[in-house]
Amino acid sequence: MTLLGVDWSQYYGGIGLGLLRTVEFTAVSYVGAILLGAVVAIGRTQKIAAVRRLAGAYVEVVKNVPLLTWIFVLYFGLPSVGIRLSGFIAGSLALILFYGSYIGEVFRGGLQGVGAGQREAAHSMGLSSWQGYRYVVLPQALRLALAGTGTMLVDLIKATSLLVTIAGRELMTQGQVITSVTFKALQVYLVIGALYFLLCYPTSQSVLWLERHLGRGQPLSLKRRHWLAIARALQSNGTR
Amino acid sequence: MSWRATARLFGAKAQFQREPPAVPPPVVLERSVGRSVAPVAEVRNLTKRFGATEVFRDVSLRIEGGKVVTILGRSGVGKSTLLRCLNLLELPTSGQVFLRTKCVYDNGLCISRKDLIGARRQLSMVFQQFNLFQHLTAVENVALAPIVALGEPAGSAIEAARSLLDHVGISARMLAYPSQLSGGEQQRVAIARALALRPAAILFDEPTSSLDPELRGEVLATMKQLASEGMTMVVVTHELKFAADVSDWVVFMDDGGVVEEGPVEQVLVSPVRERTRQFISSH
Ligand SMILES: Nc1ncnc2c1ncn2[C@@H]1O[C@H](COP(=O)(O)OP(=O)(O)OP(=O)(O)O)[C@@H](O)[C@H]1O
Ligand SMILES: [Mg+2]
Repeated sequence: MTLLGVDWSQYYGGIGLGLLRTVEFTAVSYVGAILLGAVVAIGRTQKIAAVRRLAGAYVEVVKNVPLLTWIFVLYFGLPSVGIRLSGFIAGSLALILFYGSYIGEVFRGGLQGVGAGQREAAHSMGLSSWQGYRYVVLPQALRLALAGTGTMLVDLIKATSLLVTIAGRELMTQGQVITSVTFKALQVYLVIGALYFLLCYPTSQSVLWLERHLGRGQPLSLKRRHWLAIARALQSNGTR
Repeated sequence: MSWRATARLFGAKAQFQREPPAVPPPVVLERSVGRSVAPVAEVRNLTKRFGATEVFRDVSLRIEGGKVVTILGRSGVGKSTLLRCLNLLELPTSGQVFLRTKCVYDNGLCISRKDLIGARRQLSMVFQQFNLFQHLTAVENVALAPIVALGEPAGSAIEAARSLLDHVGISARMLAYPSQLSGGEQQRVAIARALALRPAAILFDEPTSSLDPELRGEVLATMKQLASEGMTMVVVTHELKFAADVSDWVVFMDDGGVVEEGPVEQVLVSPVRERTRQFISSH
């Protein structure tokens, strides 16, 4: 197929691999960043000041240095101390470290957005700290954090393009390869940009949909689904 | 159906384990001298400080079963803090707290965290801001603690929750989320939620203060109904008329602690203390 004066058919394979690689980077990094973010958020809401400060320092240091710097440190820097990471590992790690701090902040906002009154009510009713967390705080914090966490996913997809600098073999790297053969930078990068759009737009729309859908009380767990079903059945049986 | 009968719908599993007190509290002695039952809760010489600021000192209070105790006093005088010390949401600085015959707090020594959680269920709380769980429907709000904390089967807990909502007159809205309910309805759900634990007493912290005047009546009516059914209640309130109508015992707090206490006729009608008189005439 020829589009914008470039015969793309010979690059299908490369672009396909690039897309796959972008998705792989995104998936691995996002899962990692969410796990790290959860740890950071829990750390930042701890009673123990040292833990809180440690988590806070981590966030500030990582957030205030460009992502590209972290990529270079991990990929080009570490070999000088004898640690040689593959492009995939170094790239994913940099993304995890960076987005872990941002997602940590989003999660912290979610946790702190659940009013103290909610926790207090849970405690006054004899729920243990863990039960209060599990049944009262967490379900509400997750809903509050949903929009921010989703935005981070879209941001992360785009940020994988930075890995072109360490030949990450993702979509942007493929664009560079094709450009070096065809010398049609404008056309090639417009098409690559369109492909990123096709990845990101449905993602951000899905996030919006989820946000609306889970917004009020849609059950997040099977247990709650069960409770709601019982309650609905009770109501429709309606005694009087 | 009375709340007691409703409460019986819950499984038998939820009986509280009342261990013998570590230190036999004086109530037991009193009983042998002829006092019939131990109070539901009692605080002795309770003092609470936040850092250097002392909220109250040497407060002693008995909450007798089946009685309604109202606590009056101007804003910031420590009424909420006293309630929160009673169920140990806040730890007192010194003094003693008894729940039934069990000493749960003794001069800085508290029962274990695990026992504390069980002890708290005996005194459930109704808050000024309702504090309903925003992500759960009304009926789930009521059933959550019985299911999670008492381990009751979801089916019977939810059915009992519906009966409790019926009891406070809002079972028709059982599937509504708090944001879909009026303030008065939310507070009545909160009362049903407090009842669901079959507590020995319910502590109300200004239950009508954040409600529009026209919504207060329905909540006060529900509380009066509970009182007439024999529920033990401790009520912090600014509603003097309500206090006069339902109180068995009125406690007036001012800077530093309890200034005056006694039956309605004394504290509300012919108070002895000047500050009590001022407070009442200003309301
Ligand atoms: N966690 C806390 N840390 C420090 N000071 C506190 C804390 N909680 C309450 N106080 C202080 O203790 C005093 C009593 O507060 P409390 O909320 O018990 O008063 P209140 O009588 O319930 O007032 P209101 O009628 O406004 O609810 C106030 O001066 C308040 O600032
Ligand atoms: Mg108060």
